[in-house]
Amino acid sequence: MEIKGYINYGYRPPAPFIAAMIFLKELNMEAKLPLLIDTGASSTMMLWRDVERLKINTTLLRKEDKEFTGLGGLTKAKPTPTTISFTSETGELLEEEAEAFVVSIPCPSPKLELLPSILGRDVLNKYNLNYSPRTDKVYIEK
Amino acid sequence: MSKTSSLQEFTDDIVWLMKSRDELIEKYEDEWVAVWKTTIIDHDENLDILIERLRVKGYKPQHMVIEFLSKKPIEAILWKSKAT
Repeated sequence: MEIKGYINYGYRPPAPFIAAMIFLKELNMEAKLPLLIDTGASSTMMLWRDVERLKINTTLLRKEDKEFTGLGGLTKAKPTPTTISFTSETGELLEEEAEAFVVSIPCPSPKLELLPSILGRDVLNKYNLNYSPRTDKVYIEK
Repeated sequence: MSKTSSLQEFTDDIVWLMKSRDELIEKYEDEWVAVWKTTIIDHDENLDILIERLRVKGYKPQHMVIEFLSKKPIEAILWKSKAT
């Protein structure tokens, strides 16, 4: 089954994305969001723009913070049990159980607020990833 | 609406935004835009203000495409857990 993504040309260089629905079990919160397909990221992570958009109160997440490093610097994020859903072009639903991370410190720079949430290897490794930027195609396959 | 069709609508809005991006940037440069059923329904330079206004209008921002439009490309980053 193929889940089609898209390439966002608002990024330099253009970046592969996929639309997903997430359900944060601890908060009983459901939302849709575009996720950057990031094979360099160990974990699926919700960054500031979505934390702000969804008004997530990270103090309600019970598990302890974990530290993460990136080109944006050091940050802290809390793990939380999450269901991530994708839909195929033929209308089938695929659901993955994951422990997604939610950034739990204030955004250190306005520039970082623009960054999208990330689909990391914890989920991507369950799929084949097909990324052909020259033909404008991206999809994950199971 | 089923989860599948709801997610498909969200995807359609994203695809529409990507296709219309160049045209929309001329009108909404350096602003956050909210898309619903392939239409820009609101926009603002401030994400918080936009979200609050959408809520007041009765929309559900958690189920909408909300993107920042800028002529300057965004540079993405990598995240790695310190423990791995």
